[in-house]
Amino acid sequence: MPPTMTSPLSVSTAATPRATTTHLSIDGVSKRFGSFTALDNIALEIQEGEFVCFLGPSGCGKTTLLRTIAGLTRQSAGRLTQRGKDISMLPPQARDFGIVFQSYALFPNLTVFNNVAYGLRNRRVERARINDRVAELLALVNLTGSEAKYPAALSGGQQQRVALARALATEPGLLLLDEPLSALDARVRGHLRSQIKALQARLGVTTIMVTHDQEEALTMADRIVVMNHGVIEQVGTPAAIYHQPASAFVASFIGSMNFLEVTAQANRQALLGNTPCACLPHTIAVGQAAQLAIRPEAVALSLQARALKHQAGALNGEVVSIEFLGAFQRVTLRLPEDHQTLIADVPSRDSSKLSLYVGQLLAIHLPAEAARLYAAGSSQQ
Amino acid sequence: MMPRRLFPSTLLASAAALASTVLASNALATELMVYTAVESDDLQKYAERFNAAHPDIEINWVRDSTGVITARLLAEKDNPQADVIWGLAATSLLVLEEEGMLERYAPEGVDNLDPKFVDAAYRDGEDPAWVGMDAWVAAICYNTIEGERQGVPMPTSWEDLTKPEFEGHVIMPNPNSSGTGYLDVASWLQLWDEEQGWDYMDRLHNNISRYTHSGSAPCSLAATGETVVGVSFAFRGARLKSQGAPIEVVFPEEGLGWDMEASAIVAGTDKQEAAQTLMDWSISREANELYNEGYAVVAYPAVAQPIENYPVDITDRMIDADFQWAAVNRERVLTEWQRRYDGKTEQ
Amino acid sequence: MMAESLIKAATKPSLESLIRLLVLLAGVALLVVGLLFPLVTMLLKSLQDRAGDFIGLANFAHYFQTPALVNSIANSLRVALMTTGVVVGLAFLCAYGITRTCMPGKRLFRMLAILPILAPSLLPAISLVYLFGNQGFLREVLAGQSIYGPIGIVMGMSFWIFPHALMLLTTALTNSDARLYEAAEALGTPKWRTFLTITLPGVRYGLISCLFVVFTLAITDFGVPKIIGGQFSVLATDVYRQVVGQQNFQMGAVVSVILLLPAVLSFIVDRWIQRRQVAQLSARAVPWQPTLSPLRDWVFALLCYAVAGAIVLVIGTAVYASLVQFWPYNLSITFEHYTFQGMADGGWGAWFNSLKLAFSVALVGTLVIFFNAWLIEKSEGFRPLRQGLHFMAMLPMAVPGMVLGLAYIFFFNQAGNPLNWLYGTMMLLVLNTLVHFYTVCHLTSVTALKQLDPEFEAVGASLKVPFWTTFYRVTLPVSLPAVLDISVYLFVNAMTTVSAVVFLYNSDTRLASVAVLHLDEAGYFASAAAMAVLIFLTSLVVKLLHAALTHVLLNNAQRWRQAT
Repeated sequence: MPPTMTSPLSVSTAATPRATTTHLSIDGVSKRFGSFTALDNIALEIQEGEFVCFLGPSGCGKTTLLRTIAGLTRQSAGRLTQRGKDISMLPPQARDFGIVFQSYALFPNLTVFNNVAYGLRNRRVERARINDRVAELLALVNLTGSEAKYPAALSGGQQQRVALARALATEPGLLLLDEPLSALDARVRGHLRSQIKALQARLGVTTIMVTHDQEEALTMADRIVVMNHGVIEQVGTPAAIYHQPASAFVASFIGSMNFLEVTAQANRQALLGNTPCACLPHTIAVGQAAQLAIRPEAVALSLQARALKHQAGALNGEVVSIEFLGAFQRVTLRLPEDHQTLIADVPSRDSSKLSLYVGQLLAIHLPAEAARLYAAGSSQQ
Repeated sequence: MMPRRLFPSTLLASAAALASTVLASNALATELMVYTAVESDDLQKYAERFNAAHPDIEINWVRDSTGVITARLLAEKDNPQADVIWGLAATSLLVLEEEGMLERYAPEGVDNLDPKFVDAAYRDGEDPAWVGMDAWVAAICYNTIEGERQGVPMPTSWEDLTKPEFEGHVIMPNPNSSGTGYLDVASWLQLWDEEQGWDYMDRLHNNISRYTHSGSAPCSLAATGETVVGVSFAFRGARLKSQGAPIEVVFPEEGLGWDMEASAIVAGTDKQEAAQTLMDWSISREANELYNEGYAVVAYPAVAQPIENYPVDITDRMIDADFQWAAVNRERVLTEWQRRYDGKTEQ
Repeated sequence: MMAESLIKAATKPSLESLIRLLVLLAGVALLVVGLLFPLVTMLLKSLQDRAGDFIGLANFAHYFQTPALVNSIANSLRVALMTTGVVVGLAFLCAYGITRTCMPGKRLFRMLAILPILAPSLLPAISLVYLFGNQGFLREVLAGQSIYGPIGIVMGMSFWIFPHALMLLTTALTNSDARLYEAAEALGTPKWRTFLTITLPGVRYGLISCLFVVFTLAITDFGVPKIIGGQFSVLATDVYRQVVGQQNFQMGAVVSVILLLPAVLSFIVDRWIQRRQVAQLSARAVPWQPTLSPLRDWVFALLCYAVAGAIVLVIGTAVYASLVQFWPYNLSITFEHYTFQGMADGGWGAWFNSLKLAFSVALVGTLVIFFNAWLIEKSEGFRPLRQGLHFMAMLPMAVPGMVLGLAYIFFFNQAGNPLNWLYGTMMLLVLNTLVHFYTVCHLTSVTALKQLDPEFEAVGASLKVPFWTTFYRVTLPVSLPAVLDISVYLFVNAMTTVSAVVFLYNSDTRLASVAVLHLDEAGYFASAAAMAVLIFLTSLVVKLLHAALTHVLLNNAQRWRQAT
């Protein structure tokens, strides 16, 4: 998939090659609880068969948006259209979705079989067909043979898979996953992540997942919707979100990011202290305070510190600490001019060349194609 | 603990019996709402005897102390719930008559009754508003065992009760709730003059340990030795004595206050026929024989037989009570009584 | 705002939300008719004269000018405070024994300590007369003081209120954090300082809440002072005397308003504390386990056994009183008093009525209260309605029985009220009892429902299953223990209560508890004891059945309940 960057309000559908029809469109949806605005004029289109993640810190409105789509929360304003049908005013029962909650919400007094069959029994489906369907679903989530067990006898991961089977039982057009993995421990989580993703791809069911875990979003989603304070900050593929964050918030929320206080200059330039630095084109007025964002892995370190020390335009820093993180070493540097700190991730194979030690002076190179300028103060979540 | 086998079977049997009577009787009968202050141990008997003659009329009793029933009837004046009053103090019925709450009716055979027991209006040619049943007479219950143990002598007069040795040993009914209490108060005020009467009660009050809700309770408390002296009425004293209570029923020498139990139809009832049937029966010879089982003096002169634990000359010792006075002054007397003594009343 | 209300108005009413709305409205109507209207009518009544004309606060002025009435305020406060001291003190020590020592016989003690709840509050009062009256076998204990009055009232109230306090304090003391005690021990803190700095602060909300609950129960109790108060009048008995004795409804309303004040005050305090306590309990604590300490364990054991002994003694005395031929002069044993010859229908009719009432309240009340709690707690939409219903469900706790009963007379006995036909019927008794005991059942339901996964209903809806199916297939079975608790609570209270219903029975619907009162008033003390014992045994049997049923249900549910 080509990296696509989209602005919050104009979603380009053409960018995602697989999608041809819109499954769900959200149009100017707002939700207020008293004076608190949980969702502010949200607009979004979700394509048929797409896996979309709503990502953001807690309280950003992602769960409210999911519940609004489900009809569990009624929007204060705006319209929801599913497959061309206006569902804005429909109660959850009349909408077409299956949902899996963080808590699983399995019915504790019903067996696995009865949990999965719960939605089928109400539809006057024949007994034999119910049996077949439940067996099929349990096979799909690798739980064949657990029919007679009660939820309490299953592990967390198994329970989550039962919940998934139950949500899929009625063949919903839309699958909603509300932080489905956050109650599980890391190992199970990683495993289930790929299982869900594979399942979704196989069934082709349009899926929306809410998560606060960026790694989960980056690995599972076709597209990520980054939210903050009830608004969409950015919509895009994982790569686009990571490499071309549309705002300081997105930049700071996804992955690690250095923010350096600078003064904006014209012509792809900023002033770090007295040192001019090159960066990507920006729209900030000359002389304005700004933030220069650069990922630690983009920062290049070299040994020519002594030589560059007093040269204008050359940046150097003193090593404050070194963390060993396996594949790379995380080096914290202090910039001598204004005591800002900068983090650089040095791949382990390069670090030996530098023979790192605390107190060492190193030359720093901030590649212009990785350095973005944002207005000052905008990275706060 | 209770023997297990016996208990539940009694319980089940009575539950079943009750269910069947309720089912059977609801089917046909006219239901009469009857307000009464008749002693509750006799109510069932009254209903049974009446139903033996008139099985088609079912009596729903509302029973409470005289004062409570009177107050309740007055409170319900605009929306009366009762059809008939059977067994309430004549002084109370006079008050109700004054309020226009009674329907005049001359029951069949009213001429057989002692004229004293019929509303005076009947002598002037009107139908009586109420007809009497029996007289209940003030008496003192004295616990002989406790009296001896605590050094309290047996009283012979009302005056005796004010003596210092009776301090804290006397219980009497509250005239506001109890008909017996009111007949005591009314009779003292008539026996002496008002001023002397209140003076007597002031002195008596010092010896009273408490005022009870009902007229029976002082005698019951004397019977169980909770008090030595209970100011009550003859019926209760006589009955408790025959049940084996170690009490003497004392009839004070100054004279016995008394009141009449009487019946009346409540004006505005939509069950005229049944109400009249009950009134007719309530003054019949049979009914008076029933009253005579508990009361020495009944309205049907030929019926009265002497009964156990009552003095033979009781009629002579009853004071010449003026019910009219007692009725007219009822509210005034009770308010005054409350003002003077209410701190000590039983709840 | 405009847009929001437009959206709400435009919402298509689905069948489900329509039913939801109707049930919610029915719940609101129940409490409006069964609580608010009667109370408002009563408040208005206190401002009217006998003719029904508005006279402002004249009734109150009259009240405060009548020393016999005003005295009751001080009397009520006095006995309520004394009872609170006695009950909370004893209950705290006993609860401490149960939770913080290794005393032997804890289970037996807890079983015995709960017995008073099963008896009408009239029972201890009757027993106390037999124990400490002028003929009582323990009368010397009182050293010449009369049992008829404050002493008897405090003792009688202490008996029946004790279990309530014990349950509250046991819960409070169970929520301890072992880590704090370990820290104190590691620092070498003396035991008494540990008690003052850790134990007491840890239970302070439970303790304050308990103080107020006990105080409210004591100041509003009617049964005990009625039977044993003698000449000592309190507010609750004043209401009865004004209304039943003198049919002075206006003054009855005035006393009721005054009686309502302390109850409302403690209700507010209790609510405030509950809110604080929730915040306090957020930390995850490690429960503290007592270690053996023979001296301490036996001191607490003896204390608890003494309390249990007193409870058994009081109940035993009532049983004995009901069986003695003619106390104290003929002590042969007889069942004669169980024929209740002091009552028109033999008394068993009243018992049967009570049984009918108790079963109806238990059945109807459980369904209505639990379902309403579920709608309040678990459904979306109709927010103001749900909040209003919740608020009203909390109110009955602040309304003393006497006040509620009197309010019912005022409201339902008005000639113009279309519900006038209810007056004097069993249905009205059911409604009154249901409303009277609504709050505790509501809170029990809410607590049970809060423990359920909040998303059951959403899952049900997403699977297109109607809400009532999810209610009876999942919510109800999972909450069954709580539901059974509610029903048995309602049953026992309907069996034993006297304060509200004493104003509302008629000849067809006289209740056993009211019969106890009347038998006692009329001097049939043994029959009164017999009726009280009968009520106690009935509650006991039902309680035992409930325990057995709960046991079976939990065993059956063990399959899915374990490991959660």
